[in-house]
Amino acid sequence: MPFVDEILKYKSVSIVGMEKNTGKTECLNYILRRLGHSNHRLAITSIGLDGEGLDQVTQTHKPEIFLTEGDVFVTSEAHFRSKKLDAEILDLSKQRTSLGRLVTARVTGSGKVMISGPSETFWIKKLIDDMAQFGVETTLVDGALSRQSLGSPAITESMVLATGAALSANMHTLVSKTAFLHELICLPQWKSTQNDKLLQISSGLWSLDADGEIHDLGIESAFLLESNKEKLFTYGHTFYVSGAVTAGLLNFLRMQPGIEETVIIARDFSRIFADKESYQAFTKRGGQIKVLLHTKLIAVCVNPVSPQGYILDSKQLREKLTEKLGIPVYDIFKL
Amino acid sequence: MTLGNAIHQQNGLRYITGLLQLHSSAGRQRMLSQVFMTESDALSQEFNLLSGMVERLKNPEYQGAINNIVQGLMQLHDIQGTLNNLGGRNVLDDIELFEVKRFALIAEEISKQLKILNYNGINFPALKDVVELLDPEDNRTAHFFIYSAYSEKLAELRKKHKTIDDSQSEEAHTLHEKCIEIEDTIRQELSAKLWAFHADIALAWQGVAELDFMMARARLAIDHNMVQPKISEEVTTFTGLFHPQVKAVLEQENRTFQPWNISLYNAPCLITGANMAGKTVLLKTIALNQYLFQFGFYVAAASAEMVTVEKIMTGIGDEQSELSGLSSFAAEMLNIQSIISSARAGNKLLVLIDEPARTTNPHEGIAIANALIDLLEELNVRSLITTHYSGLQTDCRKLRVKGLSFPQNSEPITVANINQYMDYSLIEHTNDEVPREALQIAQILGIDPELTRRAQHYADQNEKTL
Repeated sequence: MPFVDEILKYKSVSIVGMEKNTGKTECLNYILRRLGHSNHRLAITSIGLDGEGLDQVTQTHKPEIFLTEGDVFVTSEAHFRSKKLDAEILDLSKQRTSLGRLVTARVTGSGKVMISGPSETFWIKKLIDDMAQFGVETTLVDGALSRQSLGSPAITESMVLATGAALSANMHTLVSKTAFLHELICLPQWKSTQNDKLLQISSGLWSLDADGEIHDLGIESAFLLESNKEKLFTYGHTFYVSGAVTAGLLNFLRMQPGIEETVIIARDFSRIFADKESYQAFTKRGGQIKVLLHTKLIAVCVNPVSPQGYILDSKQLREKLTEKLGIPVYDIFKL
Repeated sequence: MTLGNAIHQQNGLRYITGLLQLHSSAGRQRMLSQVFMTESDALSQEFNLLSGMVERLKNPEYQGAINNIVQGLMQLHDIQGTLNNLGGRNVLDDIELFEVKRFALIAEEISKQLKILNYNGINFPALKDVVELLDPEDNRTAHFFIYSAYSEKLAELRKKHKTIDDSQSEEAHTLHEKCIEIEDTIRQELSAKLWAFHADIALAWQGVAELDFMMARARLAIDHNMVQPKISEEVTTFTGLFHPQVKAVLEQENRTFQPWNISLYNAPCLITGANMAGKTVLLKTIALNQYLFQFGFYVAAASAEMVTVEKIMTGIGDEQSELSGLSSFAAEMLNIQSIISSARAGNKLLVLIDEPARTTNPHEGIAIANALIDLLEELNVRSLITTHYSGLQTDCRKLRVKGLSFPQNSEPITVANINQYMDYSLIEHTNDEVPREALQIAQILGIDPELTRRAQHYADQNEKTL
């Protein structure tokens, strides 16, 4: 059984779509179907934009997920009330999302339900940890890659990536974009005793000196770099960027002396919003990017059909991606 | 007045309530709705309950039960929305039934622990019947759904539904719909039975709120060495009076807080003393402790006997005159006006005024301060007034902060160490002269020597012309 055995090894797995309609839900339903009859105890929840009940683009309903008896799920009150399955309520959160409190429940009669979850990384992490008390072995997280989303799929131990023709109908572009994201996901982890401290920083540009001490550079945004040049290198060339790592930042640092020894630490791959060209120019000059949260990519699923009706050659697409990425690639409709 | 309102006007109270270890939103709401008590009987009952709780918290034998109660309180969710639905005789959905069940289980557990503590200060109805109603399979876990145990018919249908392989088939749909129908009937029946328990559940909800607030006050009293005030009819007397916030700040800097001893009669008392001698802090401390007393808290002193008042009125310079568009003098006068009219209306007041009429010329300032004290004397107002004015012609009681002592051969006094050389204790003062240490203090503060030298020159000249 492709990659599903791999999933059982992790406490948490996020399923992340690179674009809408890349088949994330099919991928999730596939995993659930395959694990549904095993004795492995699963939980499922979601991170993403709050209020994603309706697809923002197509105004269609967010797809429902089919769960079988024994599965645990976490969803908002609003979605719990519209469930089409029987479930025993196990817990109710104190905190609220825009769709109400979160209900944790165990399926007692199979059926469908819409899943929504917290939007904050901290909360999702706590949720995953709390699942153990209900006997859950693996928590699946319906993930989202979004600039607006505060929660990041990198909080899970491992990840399955869904890509497809919805991202680009041109096979070359699709492979290239997916390969670039793969490269970011594989960025090495920054290892230090200060990681927890760094994770708590919510804004600004910080510098780490030779002893690993953290210093606030007092530069709130990458737009202010030019006017703060003299401050920038006070403590050396290792920087922690708490927010987005932008093309502007990479391009600016690339031009500065000391680029060979420059290290940028990002929170996780989803915080890197630079385009491929700026990223490559930066690394070519010797700059490095590392992440605080590293997640293991288990597999890539492709959906060769685009919403407009283009169909790419599934076999060719899988072969090209496997060659580029060096990990298993599956067609969700052929699984 | 509620504590919630008073917090907005009183920084000290905000600090104290911030120290309270409340574990539930119910407790927090209960704290904010605490009323300012003016009846001695109500207060004495409140302090009886609180001292009972303090005793239990201090007793190591009860630690286990107390920890269990705290655990229970921490698990509480706000169920007021559900309570309202129950009170309004609505049918509850599964989430609401879950909330009621979980609350009933927690309340039962807390009630059991309270029996171990042998604490009867809180009215706590038994919710055993509620638990039984919502736990037909006798699991005693806080999970909920419409259990098959509620209906044989439902159990049978569910069993049948599970045997159908194709969940999309017509037969499966029909069966599922029948199940939903029965579930809805069960929700209606459960809700109707729960309506009868609404009063009990609401009472238990108030009970946990009360308990959380009571335990938090008891813990605060123990942690901050506060004392149960005795209720007195005549004189308010503190020994070892302190301001918890100022004390904490000083202790952080390895400095000690010098507590005061003071009595307040139903007449004005004038306080003089050098600058930086803590007069303003004294006024704030007395205001804070009067609030604490009448909101049913222990007070920050080694011992206290206190008289209840109907209103605490202050003029300690933190009124927002800029916002009302008035000059500081106008704002102060209007504040004094409201004090006087309240006193004339026969209200039992505690009045605390810091340097009245200081924002105008000293000639008229002294006159105004004098007149104010006369009036407060006539109206028998329990009041404390600080001043720097000499020559107030009043025979009211006067206290002076002892002030700076200049030991021989000592290190120079600075802002950092002034606290060691300042004696903050209050002594009876008989003449109407006030200490003249302003220039000395200014020097200690490191003010431009040219300024202090010239000021000394003018002061000497004034002395001569007199």
